[in-house]
Amino acid sequence: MGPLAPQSDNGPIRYTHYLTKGLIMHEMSIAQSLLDIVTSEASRHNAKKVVRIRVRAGELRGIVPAHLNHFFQFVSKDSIAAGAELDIEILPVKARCNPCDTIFDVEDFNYQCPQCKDKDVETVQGLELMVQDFEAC
Amino acid sequence: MKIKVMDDILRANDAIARDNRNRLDEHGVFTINLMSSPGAGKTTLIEKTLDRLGMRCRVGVIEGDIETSRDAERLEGYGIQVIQLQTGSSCHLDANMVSQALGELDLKKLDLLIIENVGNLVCPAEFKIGEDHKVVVLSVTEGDEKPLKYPLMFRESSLLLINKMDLVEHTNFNIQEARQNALKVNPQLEIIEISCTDDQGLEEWDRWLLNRITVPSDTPTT
Ligand SMILES: Nc1nc2c(ncn2[C@@H]2O[C@H](COP(=O)(O)OP(=O)(O)OP(=O)(O)O)[C@@H](O)[C@H]2O)c(=O)[nH]1
Ligand SMILES: [Mg+2]
Ligand SMILES: [Zn+2]
Repeated sequence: MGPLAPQSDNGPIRYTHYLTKGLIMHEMSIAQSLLDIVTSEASRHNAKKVVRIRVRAGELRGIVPAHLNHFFQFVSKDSIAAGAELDIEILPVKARCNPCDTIFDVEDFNYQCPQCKDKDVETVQGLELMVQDFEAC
Repeated sequence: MKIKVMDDILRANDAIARDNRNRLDEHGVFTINLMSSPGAGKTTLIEKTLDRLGMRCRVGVIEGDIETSRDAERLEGYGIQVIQLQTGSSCHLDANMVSQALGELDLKKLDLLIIENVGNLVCPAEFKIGEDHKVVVLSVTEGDEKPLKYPLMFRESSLLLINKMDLVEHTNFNIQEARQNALKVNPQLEIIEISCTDDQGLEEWDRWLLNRITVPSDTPTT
C-alpha cells in the first residue's frame, strides 16, 4: 500500500519558464539533437567540416524529411556542419510474430502474421531514429 | 573521412528522461504523461481526477502549455502542487523541461504525478519525459481514424481514454472502428470509454490509477 494522506495546502502555484529556441515542430528538437551529436563526434575526430550525414528514421516516427532538413540547415548554419547534406532513409514498419518467428512487412497497420494469422506480434523496425554515420574532412 | 556514429538521435533526451524516472521512482511517485490534441479534455479529466481521488492520494500536476498558464490556474483551488511549464514555442514537453519542474516539486509529498503535455497528437509522442505510462485522450468529436493518422502516439501509450462519450450520438464517431484502429497500431493498448460530463467510465479510470498507485512493485517494463 502506498501512503494515502489528505491533500495539504501547498500555497500558490509556482511558475517555471522554459524557453526553447526555435520553432514549432518535433523535427526542430530532433535537428538540434542531431547537430549536437554530429558536432561532438566531429570534434572528437578533429574534423573541420561535415559534408554529409546519414540518418535512419522509422516510418512510425512520422519524420517529414523536408522539415528535418529545413530545420537542420537552420540550426547548423554557424557550425562545422553548415550546409551538410542530410541523407534521410525512412525504414518501413516490420514486425515479428511471437508464436512462429516470421518477420513480415506491416502494411496499413495490419499487425497480423501472414503465416499463422496470430496477432501476438512485435514491431522490429519502424521506430528507430538514428544517426548512422557522416562524412567529414 | 567517414565517421560511424550509430547513435540514437534522442539519446540525450532519453538519458534525462531515465534520470527523471529514477528520481520519481525513488520517491514512489507514479507518473503519467497525459497527451491529446487540443481540447480533447486533458485538464477537465485532471479536475475530475482531483475531485474523485484527491482525498485518497496526494496528486501533483505539471501543466505544459505553449504560452498561457490558464490550465494551471484552473487547478488553483485544489490546494495541490501545480507547476506550469511554458514551453515558449515548443509544441511538446521534453525531459529537460520536466527535470526543471521536478526540482520545484516536493516529491516526498506525492503519490501520483500527472503531467499534461502540450495539446498535439504528433510531437509529444517522440519525447520520453520520465513517465511510467503515457496516456492518450481521444475525444469523439475528433474522428475514429486518428489512431491510424498519428500511429506513434497510440503506439507509445499504455492506455487510451475515449472521451466525451456523452456526445457520441451527435457525431459520426464509430467506437468499434476507433478501437480496431487503435489496436491495429498497438495490440497491447488498454481502452476505456469515458465522459467527464456525465462521469461514465471514470470508475474504471480511478481503478486503473489506484491499482498502480497503491502497488509500488507494479512497475511497467517499457
Ligand atoms: N461534452 C463534453 N465536453 C467535455 C468533456 N471533457 C471535456 N469537455 C470540454 O471540452 C473542452 C476542452 O477541455 P479541456 O479539458 O480544456 O481540454 P484540454 O485537452 O486540456 O485542452 P488543451 O489544454 O487546450 O490542449 C472544455 O470546454 C471541456 O468542458 C466531456 O466528456 N464531454
Ligand atoms: Mg488543458
Ligand atoms: Zn506467425
